[in-house]
Amino acid sequence: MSKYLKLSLLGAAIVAASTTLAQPPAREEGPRTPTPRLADGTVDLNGHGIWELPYITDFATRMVGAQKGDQPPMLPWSKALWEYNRSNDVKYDPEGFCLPPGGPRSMGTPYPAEFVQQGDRILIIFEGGGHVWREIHMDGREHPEDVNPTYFGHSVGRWEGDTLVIDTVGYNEKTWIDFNGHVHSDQMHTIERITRPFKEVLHYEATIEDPGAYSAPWTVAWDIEWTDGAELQDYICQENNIWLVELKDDLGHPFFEKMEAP
Amino acid sequence: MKTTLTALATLTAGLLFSTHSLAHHSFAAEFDADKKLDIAGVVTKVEWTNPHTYFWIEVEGKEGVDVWGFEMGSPNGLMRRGWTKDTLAIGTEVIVRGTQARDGSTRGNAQAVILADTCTRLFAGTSQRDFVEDESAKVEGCTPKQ
Amino acid sequence: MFSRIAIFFACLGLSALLWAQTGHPAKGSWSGNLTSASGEVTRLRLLIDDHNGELSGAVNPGRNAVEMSKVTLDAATWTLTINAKMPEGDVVLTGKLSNLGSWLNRKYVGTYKQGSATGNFDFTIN
Repeated sequence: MSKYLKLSLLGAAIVAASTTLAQPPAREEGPRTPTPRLADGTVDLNGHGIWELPYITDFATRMVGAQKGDQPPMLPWSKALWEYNRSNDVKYDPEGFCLPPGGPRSMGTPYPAEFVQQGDRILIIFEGGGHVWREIHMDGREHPEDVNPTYFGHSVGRWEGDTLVIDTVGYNEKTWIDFNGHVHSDQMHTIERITRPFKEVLHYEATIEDPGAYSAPWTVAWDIEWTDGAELQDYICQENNIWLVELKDDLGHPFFEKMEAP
Repeated sequence: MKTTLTALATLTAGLLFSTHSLAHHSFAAEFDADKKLDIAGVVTKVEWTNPHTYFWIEVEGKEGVDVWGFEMGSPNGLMRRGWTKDTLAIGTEVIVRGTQARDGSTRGNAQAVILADTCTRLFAGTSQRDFVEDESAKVEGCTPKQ
Repeated sequence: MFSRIAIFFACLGLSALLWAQTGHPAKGSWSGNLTSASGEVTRLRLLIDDHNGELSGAVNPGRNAVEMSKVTLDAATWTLTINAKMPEGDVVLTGKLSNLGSWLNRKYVGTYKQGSATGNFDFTIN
């Protein structure tokens, strides 16, 4: 059994044991129609419409079972770096550079998204994060032994009943966990669980397992609303990013310019 | 390491330069095809990025160390030719052949990257049209250090 | 047969792309100078990696690489201490990481001891 398959099974056990998998709150407003399905009975994750991803700026506030003020279990270096990021108003957030929001941040970043199900793979296409997409392999493959690190990592998925479980490794270190400045290492392993309890609601959960930056796995969750009939628009982040041009580092030097060697 | 240099050389042997790896910007505007470079140094950094990969080497000069930066093709093109992110490990001794930036700075476009240990040539995926047809041919002017 | 250097780094668990940017601030390829009290300048390169929050690395990665015997970070003060058994004598570097958010100009500056000799060092991330 590959190392990553073992990890994903361990991760699934941790998620099952440690979280109260909350059903989405019953809402008074809005229609609630049954989960749409494809011809073979699989949950249809889309249709003609868009998922209005909420803007989750601080993952600490979305931790399952957390009290107000709780923080994820950061290692000393990642806690110190989070504090540094907050101390400069997160000016070095790579999403601010128009780089893609890798990991669960992709599902909590501004602007909507859609799912495209193709049998052997599922694509998630994002209006935000700079017009990017994620590819989830659904053909039963395992993660490669030596994964080339990428912004969105290598994702393999499977259905467990009506829950889409996505296991991802191989993240690079060019993204933050969230806008608030929580960081991760390239050892990050995420397990996302997605359900569509009603046509109008997607329930999203992600367990973040990163021994390089956190002392224990932690889980975040939120609901995402559907807008029927709407379509994705154009958002090309890199078109005119004046922030990049003017950004200075702690030494007052232009961020994207290498200083002359002493 | 799974990918051997023999395999790399075999992969690139006889392959003609692909027009797919043309630069996203004009080669001629940035580099001077007449300013040929042949520089040996130690790899200190690799940027495995789009639209171009870059790597830097430190070169021992008479008055200390010079840092040279080189542009190559994009990762997707290089990977299809057998490169991996680890092909140029930090600390690798290389000989770089290519052309220098028009402004005379210590930058260039790499046409060939040769591993000094074994004198094996790596495909650089450069946009330059003046390329080596037979990548597997013996590298002239290189003596293996091993 | 791949180069000895690549095998050496594979054994250390390091890779070509130690380009952390938003990962551990000490991780990466660094270049700089040691300046002794008498003014002698020695250029050094450092290659630092992190795994499960533990740091490791090599001085002068390549043909003459020397594995770091110990690398520790005091995250409260961003003080990084590196021990390495260099051919010229065991060296201890103690210094602060600064300009942490920078991807190009992060700094590691401090003082070193090598036997009875002391001096300053100044590294910039590559």
